[in-house]
Amino acid sequence: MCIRTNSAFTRAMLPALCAALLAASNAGAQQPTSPATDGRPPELAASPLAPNPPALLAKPAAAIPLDKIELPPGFHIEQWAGGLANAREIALGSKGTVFVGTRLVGKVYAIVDKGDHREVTTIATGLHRPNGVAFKDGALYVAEIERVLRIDDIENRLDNPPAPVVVYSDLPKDEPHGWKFIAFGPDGWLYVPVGAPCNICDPPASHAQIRRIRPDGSKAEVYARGVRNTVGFDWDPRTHDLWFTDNGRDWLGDDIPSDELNHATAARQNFGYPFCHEGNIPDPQFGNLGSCANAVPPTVKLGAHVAALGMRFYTGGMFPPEYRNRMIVAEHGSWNRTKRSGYRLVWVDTSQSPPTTGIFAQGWLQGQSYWGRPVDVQVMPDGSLLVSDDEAGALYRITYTK
Amino acid sequence: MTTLRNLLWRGSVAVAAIVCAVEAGNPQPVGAAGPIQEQAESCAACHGPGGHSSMTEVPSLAGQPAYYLTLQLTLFRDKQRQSARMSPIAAALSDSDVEQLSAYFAALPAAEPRDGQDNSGAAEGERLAQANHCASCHLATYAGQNQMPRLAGQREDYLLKAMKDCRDGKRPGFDGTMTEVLHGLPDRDLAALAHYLSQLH
Repeated sequence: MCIRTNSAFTRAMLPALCAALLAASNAGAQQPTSPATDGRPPELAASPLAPNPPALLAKPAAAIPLDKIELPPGFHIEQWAGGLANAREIALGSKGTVFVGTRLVGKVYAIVDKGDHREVTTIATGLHRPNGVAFKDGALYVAEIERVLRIDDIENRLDNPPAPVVVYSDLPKDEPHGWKFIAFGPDGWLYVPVGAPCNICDPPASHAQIRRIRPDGSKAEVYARGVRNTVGFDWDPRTHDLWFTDNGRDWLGDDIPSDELNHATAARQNFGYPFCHEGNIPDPQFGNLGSCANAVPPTVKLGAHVAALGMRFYTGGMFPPEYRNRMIVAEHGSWNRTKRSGYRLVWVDTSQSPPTTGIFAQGWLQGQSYWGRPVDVQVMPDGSLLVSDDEAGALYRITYTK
Repeated sequence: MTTLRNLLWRGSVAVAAIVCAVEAGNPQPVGAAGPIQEQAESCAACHGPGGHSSMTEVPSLAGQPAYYLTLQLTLFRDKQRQSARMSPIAAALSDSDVEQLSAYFAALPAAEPRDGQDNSGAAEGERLAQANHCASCHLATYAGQNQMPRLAGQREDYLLKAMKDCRDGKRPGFDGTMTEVLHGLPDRDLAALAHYLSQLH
């Protein structure tokens, strides 16, 4: 099955596209299905845009200029922990331990607050993209690309962690968008996304979805489809509905499509990938695989290429009352855009319709240069907000005083 | 920045020392032997004098982007890139060692293509490089930038091995970009690309 179209671009692409799709179907679900040109239109063939350099080493505190960060009046940011190379998702233990996953250095960190300083322990090494961490019943769950691990009784055994138990391993091995953000829902299931194995392609049914699994791995089911790459989600404490960020495709230009903030009002909804972007833009290559009318549109368009990642509802008591139940979204920042966008935290208030948004923290981007990249946020028991930064290899803490 | 300038200066001293050594008919780099230079000299056992490899499937390091070298050494150290030879070596390196070694090799002049090689088939490699937008990240000169390695003048057998490893998921890189770009390309296309790129100055 290949696409029928009259556009000159697709006609030119057709043989390569069909060959790639055929090769992919022969190779099975473990292989990405995109053509080698990856959706780049001819007019962008000479574009100098390239993925941002990843950071694998932690910066010293002196190289982290937090005085550049702008916050609303009364808010303050400080470095809370350092030496956390490639710090990504943040999870909280029931005894106060902060766990941090990494995408590129194979490590999981545990941080214990000792009052005047933080004690950092590396509790796992040599894992494959252990980006995702979540905590339940004394155990830390860690998501690699192709499996979910559980480390039992971890807060009592930080210096001598037990061997991880494999909870679930029925996951594709594809690298593109294969790293995971994970979290436990109010239903007690662990939500595990499987990203598209490409920028833009017709993904196998095993991909471009959020699935949920029982904590013991005994059952798994697809919760949402048409999701390109979500690296952040949370549940509204008022309604228990799932909200998630989704990163839009690349190579459609500077200003489309927008990254999405989506609201799942039920299981098994389709959010449009690969045929529909930001609710109303049919994909130029794959638009005839579906209709925007059959895709749930985003509640908020966060902006093209901002790379909206970690997101949590603010449920603490420290910030001013208007912040309660707002979402705080970490924007990791763009690469596929002529003028950089993102590199900041934004808030989203869904208590009224339409929702309102605003900038919460910015300054990681100075001109066209960035020195830090926010990845995830986590509300602490005292109501302060932790922020992870994989460029600086650090955790920050944002507090408020009247 | 002082440190970086210092390193670049030390690199240029090393370059001068190598040039002198080569002119004197001595293939081993000599010069003011600081600890980093001593470590770098041990790299030469496989990566060649001056970072110009003459060993099968071992890359030349000279003229690679410093950031690329930093990332690869860190990946070996953190067990994220598998190599029986490199992982034990990198395991002993501190962050500072990694950055200084990377700056050292980045400052060395890149290898020139060897003369007298069969240049037939380079046109096919050039066509494939354009069709797959290699220059978009690796630059029009194929000198590389940041995390993207220099391809120009690299050993042909190493380029072929690296591309096969990326395509086949043995070398995942950072975000799967190379796995995605090379997906579905047959060995003969990778061979043509490797041949073309290895011949560039």
